[in-house]
Amino acid sequence: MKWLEETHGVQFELVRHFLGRILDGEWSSSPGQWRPAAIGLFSLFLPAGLLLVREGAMNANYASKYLRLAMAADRAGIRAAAIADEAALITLVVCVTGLIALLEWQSLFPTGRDYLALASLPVRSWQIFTARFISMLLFSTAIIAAMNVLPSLIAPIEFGGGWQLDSSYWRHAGAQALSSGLAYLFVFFTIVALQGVLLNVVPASLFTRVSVYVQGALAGLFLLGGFYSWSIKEWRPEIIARLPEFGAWLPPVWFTGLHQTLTGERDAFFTTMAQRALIASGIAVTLGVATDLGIKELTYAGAEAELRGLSGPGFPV
Amino acid sequence: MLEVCSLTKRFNGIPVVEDVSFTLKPGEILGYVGPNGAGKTTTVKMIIGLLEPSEGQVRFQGRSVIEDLPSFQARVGYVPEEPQLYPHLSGREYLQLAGRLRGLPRTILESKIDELLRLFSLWEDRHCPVSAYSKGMRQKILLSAALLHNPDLLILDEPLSGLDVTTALVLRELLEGLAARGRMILYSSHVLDVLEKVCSRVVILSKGRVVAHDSIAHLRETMHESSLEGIFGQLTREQNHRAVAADILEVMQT
Repeated sequence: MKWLEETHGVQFELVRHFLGRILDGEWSSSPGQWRPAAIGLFSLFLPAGLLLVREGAMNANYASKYLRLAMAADRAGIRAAAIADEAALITLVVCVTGLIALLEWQSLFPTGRDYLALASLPVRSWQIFTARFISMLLFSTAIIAAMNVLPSLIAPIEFGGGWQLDSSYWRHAGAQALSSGLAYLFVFFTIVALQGVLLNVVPASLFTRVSVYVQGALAGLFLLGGFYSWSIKEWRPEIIARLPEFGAWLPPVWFTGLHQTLTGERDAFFTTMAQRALIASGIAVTLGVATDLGIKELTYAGAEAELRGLSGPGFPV
Repeated sequence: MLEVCSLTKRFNGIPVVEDVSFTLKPGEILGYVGPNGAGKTTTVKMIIGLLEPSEGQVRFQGRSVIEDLPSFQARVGYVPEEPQLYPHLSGREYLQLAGRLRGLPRTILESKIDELLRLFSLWEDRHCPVSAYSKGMRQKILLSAALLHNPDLLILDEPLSGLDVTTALVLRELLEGLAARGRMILYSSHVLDVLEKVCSRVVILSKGRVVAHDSIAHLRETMHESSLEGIFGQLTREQNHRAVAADILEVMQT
């Protein structure tokens, strides 16, 4: 920890600065030390809560779902229940991730405030962009880890049963961590890419307005998705059987497919979904990085114009 | 030495600063004077590298500053006209950020920050967010940030803005002390009486052009004026202030 207290290079110091303030966006009027902790805890416990609540549910049918299915030797029922639970969990991870990324919307790219506050210091604008990007990556990685710890440890026990093709606990834990982690990366970088595209495409004077509409629409989508995830776990085998008809283009189904494939499922539909999950994650990360690197260079004049409400973040005038 | 060579800035083709040239030698305090909108701040921003000149260049110790802007900025202390600080940072946190970005080792930085906060009477408010500071307190933070790394060149753009009388007197003494230690100081302002007391030479700007560049003593002698205010009035052909005040009074009373 002593090393951390010392002064290091410009890039390190900028990352330290942005990482410490990543949730202090324009939507916040005062420094909020509680926010990172609150969101971190929320992210940590919510997906796990899905499982824990069900296990401790007052409804006996719910609490002993797998036990009943196992006693009835209903192998197809157990498989369907496990897929539904996994899809519900991934949907919740995707929605929570999306909401976190939207909360960070203002912090994803440097703003005119950053440029002006650092203007007299020996810092280049590309260093500010890079530091913002690195801090965002570190922050997202921390959240991926936080969100996945409990689900990865609990899900294999939760979904465990005689139906498993491979009953290795660690294989299931790894599959859970990987599929949730990639789902997180997919959503987070899709939002980064979306904001980057808006910054590059939307006229500067319209950026703030368009950005608010996009944020609002996405927040609604993620909130509805989050609520809907609670009913996914009730899907019956006949709905699971119809997944190829209605779920092939739903991102949570891709990552559920990845989880199933990693745990030994040989179903062709899930194999295709797993491939789709990998390709989508790759595209999202590539686009996110590309739009960040390809963004117009922030200039002093642009930063001044932004603060006076004449343009969007980072736009030269 | 700082050399400003034929600096010109146009916005949408309209010249704001035209063909401005001057030099600043070690141990010198150069006043940069002009009425509102004369182009003082634009010149300062071009010198510091915040705005790209349309023409001309700035040289520091014989090298164009554009060649290695961060190295130049590392040797410059700059107090901008408008304080742009992170509102959520405390004064102490902003100074820590500035010092770290200038590469100052932690132990040296911490002691310097504590001393400067005490000397500028900000100690009690060191943990308050900058958004709660008065304009003068923000100005003190900017001054502290500009002095932290013991710069070779100090560029001050209206540094007295919001400062109380005591701090303004401290700053005046400080500038003279820095000049005596061989530092270069560019002092841009329209507060003529302070400039007259601290500056050895002045550059007077009017409508983006240099209309005088000389020592104050020599300007007084050649223009037969006893004060910088009189010289300034002659050179910039500003309105007759007495007549304007009388006109305003008349408008108020009608």
